[in-house]
Amino acid sequence: MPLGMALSCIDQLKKIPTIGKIGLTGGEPFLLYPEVLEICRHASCKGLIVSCITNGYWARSEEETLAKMRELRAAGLATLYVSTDTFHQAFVPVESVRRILRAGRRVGLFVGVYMDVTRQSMRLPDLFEALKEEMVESAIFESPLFPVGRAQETLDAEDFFTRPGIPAEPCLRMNDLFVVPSGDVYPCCSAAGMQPPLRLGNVHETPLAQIAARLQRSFFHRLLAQRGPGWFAQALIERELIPSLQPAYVHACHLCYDLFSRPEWAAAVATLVEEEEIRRARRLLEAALLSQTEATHAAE
Amino acid sequence: MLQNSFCTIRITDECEIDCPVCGMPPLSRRAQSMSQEEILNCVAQVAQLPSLWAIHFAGGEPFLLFDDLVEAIRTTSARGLKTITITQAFWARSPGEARERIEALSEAGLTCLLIHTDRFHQPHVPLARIVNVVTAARAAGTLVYLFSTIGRGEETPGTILRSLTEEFVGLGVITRPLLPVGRAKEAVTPEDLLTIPEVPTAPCPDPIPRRLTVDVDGSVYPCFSHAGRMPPLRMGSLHQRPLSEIVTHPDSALLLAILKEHGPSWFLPALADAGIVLPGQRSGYVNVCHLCYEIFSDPEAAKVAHRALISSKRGR
Repeated sequence: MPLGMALSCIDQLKKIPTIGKIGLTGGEPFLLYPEVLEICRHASCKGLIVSCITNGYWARSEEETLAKMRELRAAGLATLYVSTDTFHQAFVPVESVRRILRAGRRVGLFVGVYMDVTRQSMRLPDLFEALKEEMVESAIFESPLFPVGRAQETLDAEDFFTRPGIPAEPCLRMNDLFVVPSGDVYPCCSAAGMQPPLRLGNVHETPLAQIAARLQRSFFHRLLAQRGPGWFAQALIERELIPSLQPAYVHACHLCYDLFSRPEWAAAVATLVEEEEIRRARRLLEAALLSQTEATHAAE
Repeated sequence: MLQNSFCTIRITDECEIDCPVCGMPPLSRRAQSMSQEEILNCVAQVAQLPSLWAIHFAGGEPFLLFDDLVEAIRTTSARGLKTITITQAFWARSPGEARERIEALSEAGLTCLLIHTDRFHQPHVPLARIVNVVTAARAAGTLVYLFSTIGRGEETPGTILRSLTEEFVGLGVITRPLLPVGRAKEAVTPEDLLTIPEVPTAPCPDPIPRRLTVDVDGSVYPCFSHAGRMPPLRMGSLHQRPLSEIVTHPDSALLLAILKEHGPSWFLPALADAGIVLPGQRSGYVNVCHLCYEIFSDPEAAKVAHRALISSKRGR
């Protein structure tokens, strides 16, 4: 993403009262390190809290790491997240993560750790034990990898932590505005969320404030946030709008990806939402009529 | 100013267990709780702060005031705010008990639950109770994270986590360092602490006052760390003036400005001039909160810091 576009997004986000944090993600944001610093300075000057995620490839020595962490802290970065797990450690040694955690403590920059896990990979306690005391002031989040993108091609289906049935949880992520280099905006930063039916707009065409308002107003997105993709899946099957689902999913994001990445299913979802919206409007109308009738009776 | 911040309301000092490394004073020296009326009044005031993201109900052990906690969460979430609470899970004796309570909280709108899980809590709370709570929270669709205090020679979190990750995939752990604060001040030795090699010179880690805390007695502090609840940092009391006024005109405004801009290390030259050497200057500091606590919990050091503040005000 060009720097000017990122800074313009920040200026626009600053005008949205409900937004106080921005997160820089990639790919690998540190490949554009001067831009990361500039974005941090710009956003923090405007009172936004800034976080960034990295794989930590750049933490090659204690000195280099400390210097960068100082620079980031001075630029206004509030939190740095590092992705490290079996898959990342094939390229970036855990020692780099240790350096980042150590430097974070020394310069007062909070460092959190994200790890993707499968049945065959290292798990949270393994990483905890590898990093031991460096984990003293941090947060570490284990996330079951799900078959999307390259993971779908390179890993065996049995490696994923799937559970039989339809995931029932609501969607807890549906509050973000995720802007990608093309300018497209999605309501969630998961790989599962970047599907055409979930797209909210494009910053080259629509101001971010309008896109944010669109998310707030969207019946479909609110339905997805409150009821989760499981509700959609169940309803689609009951109404025979789709033939069947996979027998097992890793979690709601996996199901969400499955539902919205297939154009023919996405069309079925659109039909379902339309029906639900009509039903809701009818319910509201009936409630209003009932209340009016009661008020009339009371007046009589 | 408070954009996307969260505010902590400490609804009770009480707890069933008296951990030797607790950041609060021993149980025998604390037994205060807010009444439901006080909690809801607090929520009403906190909820009016601009751009607040969430309210965190903390303790002591907040589940000791369970009905009040449910009511507070219901009221907060009806105002469109997220809610967080924390527990040591002592109460979760069976899966049924855990389910009943977590369902009540979830129905009231609880967003996120933190569970103390570390070598200091587990001698008092069997791991099976943590499993009960995590299982119930996941079934209810409530976000749940483990909250671990870590000291030197730490092997236990890995061991505890190993048995939990056999049960659960996708856990999150938030870690905090053991600090010599409250009871822990007497119980831990410098060797127990994970210190850094130099005096921490950073400003406050959480931009003041984005982590506002209302204490059981109505005192308002700029941060939620036990290390930050000291008289010089006190911003005011809800019993004396409304929160909106305390936030815009805190009693400790000048000190907060220095901490926000420079951090507590700003006071070290003045302390050195006064011949005061803090214990951590010899044995090392865990973090900036540890230094802050040492300065402002030592009456002599706090006096010198106060004088330095007054001089800086004149200078300004």
